[in-house]
Amino acid sequence: MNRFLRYSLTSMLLLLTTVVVFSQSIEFNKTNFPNDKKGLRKAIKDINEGDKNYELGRVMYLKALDHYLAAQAFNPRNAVLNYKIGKCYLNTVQKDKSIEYLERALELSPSVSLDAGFLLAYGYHLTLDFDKAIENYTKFKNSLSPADLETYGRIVDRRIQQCNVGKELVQNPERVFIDNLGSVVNSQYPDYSPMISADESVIMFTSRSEGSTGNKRDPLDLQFFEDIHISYKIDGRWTAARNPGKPLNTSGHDATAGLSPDGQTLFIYKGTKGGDIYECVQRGNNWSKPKKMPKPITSKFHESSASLSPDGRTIYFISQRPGGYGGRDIYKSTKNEKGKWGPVSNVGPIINTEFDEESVFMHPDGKTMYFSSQGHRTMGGYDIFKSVFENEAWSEPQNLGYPINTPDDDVFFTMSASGARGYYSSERIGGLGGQDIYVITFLGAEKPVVFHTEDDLLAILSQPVSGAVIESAVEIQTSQLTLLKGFIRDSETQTPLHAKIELIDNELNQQIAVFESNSATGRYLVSLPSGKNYGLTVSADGYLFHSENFNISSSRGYQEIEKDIMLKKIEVGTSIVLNNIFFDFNSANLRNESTAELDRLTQLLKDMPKLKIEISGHTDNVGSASYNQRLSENRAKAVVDYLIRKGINTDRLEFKGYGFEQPIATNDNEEGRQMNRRTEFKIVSK
Amino acid sequence: MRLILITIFAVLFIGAKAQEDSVVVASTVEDFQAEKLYNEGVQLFESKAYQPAINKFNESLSLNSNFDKAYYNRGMAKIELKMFAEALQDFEKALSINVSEYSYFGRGLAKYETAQMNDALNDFNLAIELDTTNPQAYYYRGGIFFQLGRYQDAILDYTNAIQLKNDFYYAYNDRGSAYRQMEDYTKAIEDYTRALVINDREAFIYNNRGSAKSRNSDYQGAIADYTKAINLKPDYYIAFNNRGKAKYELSDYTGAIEDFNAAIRLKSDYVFAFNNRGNVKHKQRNYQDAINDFNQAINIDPNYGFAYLNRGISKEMLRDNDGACADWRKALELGVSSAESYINLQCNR
Repeated sequence: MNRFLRYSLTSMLLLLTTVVVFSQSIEFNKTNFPNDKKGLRKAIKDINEGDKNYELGRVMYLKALDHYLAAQAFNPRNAVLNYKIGKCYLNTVQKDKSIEYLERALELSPSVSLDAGFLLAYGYHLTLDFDKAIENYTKFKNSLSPADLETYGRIVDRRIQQCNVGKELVQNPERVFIDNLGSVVNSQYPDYSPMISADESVIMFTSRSEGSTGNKRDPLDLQFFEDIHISYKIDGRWTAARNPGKPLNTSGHDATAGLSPDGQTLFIYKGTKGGDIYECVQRGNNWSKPKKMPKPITSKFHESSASLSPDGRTIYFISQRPGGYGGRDIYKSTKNEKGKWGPVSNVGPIINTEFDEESVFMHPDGKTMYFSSQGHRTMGGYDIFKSVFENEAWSEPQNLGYPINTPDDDVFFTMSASGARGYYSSERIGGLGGQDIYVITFLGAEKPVVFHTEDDLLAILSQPVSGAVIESAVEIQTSQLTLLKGFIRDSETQTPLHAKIELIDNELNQQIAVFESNSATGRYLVSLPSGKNYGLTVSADGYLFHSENFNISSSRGYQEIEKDIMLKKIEVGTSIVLNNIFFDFNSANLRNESTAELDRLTQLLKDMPKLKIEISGHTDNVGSASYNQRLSENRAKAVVDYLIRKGINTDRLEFKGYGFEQPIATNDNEEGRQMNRRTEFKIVSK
Repeated sequence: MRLILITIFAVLFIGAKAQEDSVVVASTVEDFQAEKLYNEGVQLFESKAYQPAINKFNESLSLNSNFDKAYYNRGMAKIELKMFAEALQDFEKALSINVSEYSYFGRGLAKYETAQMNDALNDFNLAIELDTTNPQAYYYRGGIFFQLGRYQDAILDYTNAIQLKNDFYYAYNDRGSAYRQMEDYTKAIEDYTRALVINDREAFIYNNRGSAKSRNSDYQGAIADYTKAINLKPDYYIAFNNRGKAKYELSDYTGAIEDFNAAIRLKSDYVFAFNNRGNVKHKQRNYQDAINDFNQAINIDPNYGFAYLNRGISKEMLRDNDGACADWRKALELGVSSAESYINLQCNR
C-alpha cells in the first residue's frame, strides 16, 4: 500500500506449515449438523466469503470478520474458524478480542496452526498483558522444532525482550494528554503522517479519504489513493482540512514525508521506483510542482521521510540503500553554498540499528531528532525515540515512553517548536476510523504539590512554627530555541513583500541560512536555536535592507517573538537603524561582530554608486551631553572610516554625532536605552 | 498552644533573703508596713492570685516608693497577666533604683514578649553577665537566638541551661528543635527523647520528635510519635495534620484523609489541613474534590499562596489551562516562587 510496510505476521511466519489435526474441534459437516442443513449451508457460505477476503490480507480482515462471526454463531467450536477470527481481530482496533478466540482455537486443537501460539502471545503483548505474553511466547518457543527454532527463536526472544521493556515503560507512564484532532481534520478513512510547521499554524497530512484526486481506489488494498490534506490553525482552532489538489496531489499515492519549520517546503513520498522523496515549495499561494530530490539523496533504493535542519541546509532522510546498519536507516546530506546537496552519510550506529528506522523528524532546535525504530528499546513494532546531538555526538536514543508508544507501530511523530505538543497518527478505539491524527500534550515531570505542616518547636512559644513542606523543585525543560515570526511589508503601502531573510552568526561572521517570506502573505518564520548572536537582515529589491539583532544565550529556553518588519523604499531622506553594528563599551572601537553588517552596507553602496549617505551615532542619556555627543560622533566616524577603507568614495559619506538628542525610545529603562544606543544611516541623495 | 512562662524570682525574694533585707532596711513604721504588704503580695503571687498580689504590691509601693523588689515582683505578676508594657515599666523602675540581674532578666522577658528581640537579647546578656548560674536566663536567650535563626548560639545556651538544671526538659526540647532547624535530625531526635525521659506526658514533644523522624524519612516512627501525642492530647489538631502527611508519604491515602478530616473537625478553619487534604485527593486523581478543598482553604485565607499553587496543579489535570495559569500567577504574586517556572512553561505559549 504505502511507503510504510507494516510488518505482517503472516509474512513473517509464512513458512510455518499449517497442519490441522482434528481433536475436539467440531467441523462444519452434515455428520455434526444433521438437522440444520440450511444453517450449515449458510455457515459454509459465510466461511467461504470470509476466506476470500481473508486471503486478500490484513486490510480486508474487517470484512472477513463479519462472515466469520456469522458462521461462528452457528458453530462456535471449530478450531480453524476461531483461529481465523482471532487473527482478524489482531489486525483490527479491537485487538483484545483476539485473545478469547485464539485461546479457544488452541484449546479445541493445540495444533490448529503452528503460529496460533505466537499470535496469542502477540494478542497479550498488544493489549499490554506482558506477563501472559511472555508466558505464551515462551510456550511457543518451546514447541518449535529445532529447525524452526533456528529460524524463529531469535524473533521470539526479541518479542520477550520487548515485553520486558513494555512492562517497565507502562509502570512509569509519561504524563501526557493524547487528543484526537477531531472531525475537522480526521475522516472516517485512514489519516496519518501529520507534518506541522514549527509554530503549529499549519498541518499537512496524508489521507485516504473519499474524493482523492482521481477518486480511484488502490487495487492492492481497495482504499482510496493517498492524497495530501492541509488544515490551518486560526484563533487556536484547526479549520476544516482541505485537499489542495494539483500539483501536490496526483491520481496516484501522494503522501506527506516532511515539512520545513516555516511550512513552505514540503517533502512528498511517492512509492514509485522503490520509493522516492519529492520536494515542493510554496510560492505565494501556489505550490511548485513536486520535484524528485536529486542524487545522491535519491537512489534506486527506497527513500522516505525527510526533515530539514532549522537552517534548511541539512536534510535527514530514510533510505534503504546498501551500506547501512540494516534495513532502513537515517541518512543526511548538507547543501553547499551554491545550494547543491553534498554527499550522503549514514548518521551512524548510535541512531541506526540492524532493524528498520522510519519517519525522521529534526526539531527546530537543530539538535533533537525524533524517529521511529523497530530496534533500540522498543516495546513492540516501531516506537518513537529521541536523541540529542551534543558535543559532536548523538545521545543514546530514548524511548518516548508509554502511552505515546505502544506495542503496536508508533510512527510519524513531529514536535512543536515549543516542545509542548507532539503530533502523530495512531489507530485507537474511539477514533474516527482507521488511523487518525492525534496531538500529544506533554505535561512534563509531575508537579510536586506543597503540603503545609507545623510544630510546637519551642516550649516558650505560644504559637506553633509552621513550615511548607516543599519537595525538590521540578526541573522544567523547554526547547532551547527562539521562534521568530511575523510579516514583511512595505512600510508605506503595507503590501506584503517577498523578501530575503539572511541569518548571520555575528561572532563567526558567517551566513547561517537564507529564508524567504511568502510573496502572497509576507509571512515568515525563522527558528533560532539558543546559543548564538544572530544578525538578521531582511532585504527586497528596491528597498533598504532592515537589520535585527538577537543575542540568545545558550541557556535561553523557548520563546516566541512576533515581529512584523516594514521595509522602506530607497528614497532620499529614508533612514534605518543598523542593528548589527557593535562597539566596545564607552568606545568607538568597532567590534568584530559588526563585520557582516558593515560589509552589507559596503555592498549597497557599491550596488548603487550614486547613493550618498549620512551615518549618524546616537546614545542614551547616561553621562554628559558633550561626552555623548563626542562618543556618538566618533562612532559614526568609525563606520565611515570602515567604508572608506573598503573603497567607498569619501564624497558619498557624511558622519554626525547626535548624542542623546534624538531618542527613539524612553531612556527610563534598559530596554529603551538599548534602543537609543544605535547607529543609523540616512539617504542624502541618490 | 503552650505558653510556658517561667516565673520563679518572686519566690526567691521573700523567704530568707527578703526578710534579711527587711531587718536591715525597715527603719520606719511605713517601711515595716510596706514590707508586710509586700510579703502578703508574694504569698498571693505564689498562690497564683496575680491581680490581688498586684494590689498588695501597689499598697506596699505607696508606703515605700523606693522598694525595688516590690516593683520587680509587681512586674512579674503583670507578666503573668500578659500586661507586658506595664511590666516593662516596673522593671525599668526597679533598675533605676537598683541594678540587678533579676531586673535585667525581668525587663528582658517583657521585651521578649513584646517582640523587641534585640533589646531583650541585650538584657539577657546583662543578666547573665551579673549572674552566670541562672538557667532561665540562658534558656530565654537561647529562645531569642533560635527565633533570630542563630541556632548554633541557641544550642550553646540550651546546653548551659541544661548543665545548670539537668531535668530542664524544655531546654532539651528546644535544643532538639534547634538541631532540627539545622537539619541534624539524629541529634534532634536524641534531645526530644531525653526530654521525654524526663517527662513523658508532654504531647508537643512527641509531636516534635515525630516531625524530626518524618523529616528523616522515618514515617512509621513519626506516625507512632504523633499517635502518642494525640493520645495525650486528643484535640491536638497539629499532630493530626502531621500524621496525615506522614501517612501520605507511606501512600496510605485513606488514612491521610481521615487524619486531615480529624484536624478539620477540631479546628474548622484549619487551612493547612484543607490544603493537605486537597493534595491527597489530587494524588488519588480526584481532581475536582481536590479543587473543592483548595477552594475552602482559599475562602478561609485568600492570601494563602500555596493553595493557589496546588489548585492550579489540579486544574491542569482537568484540562483547565487558563484556570491553572490564573492560579499560578496569583500564587507567584503571593510569593510562591515555584509557580514561576510553571507559568513560563505553560502559560506563555
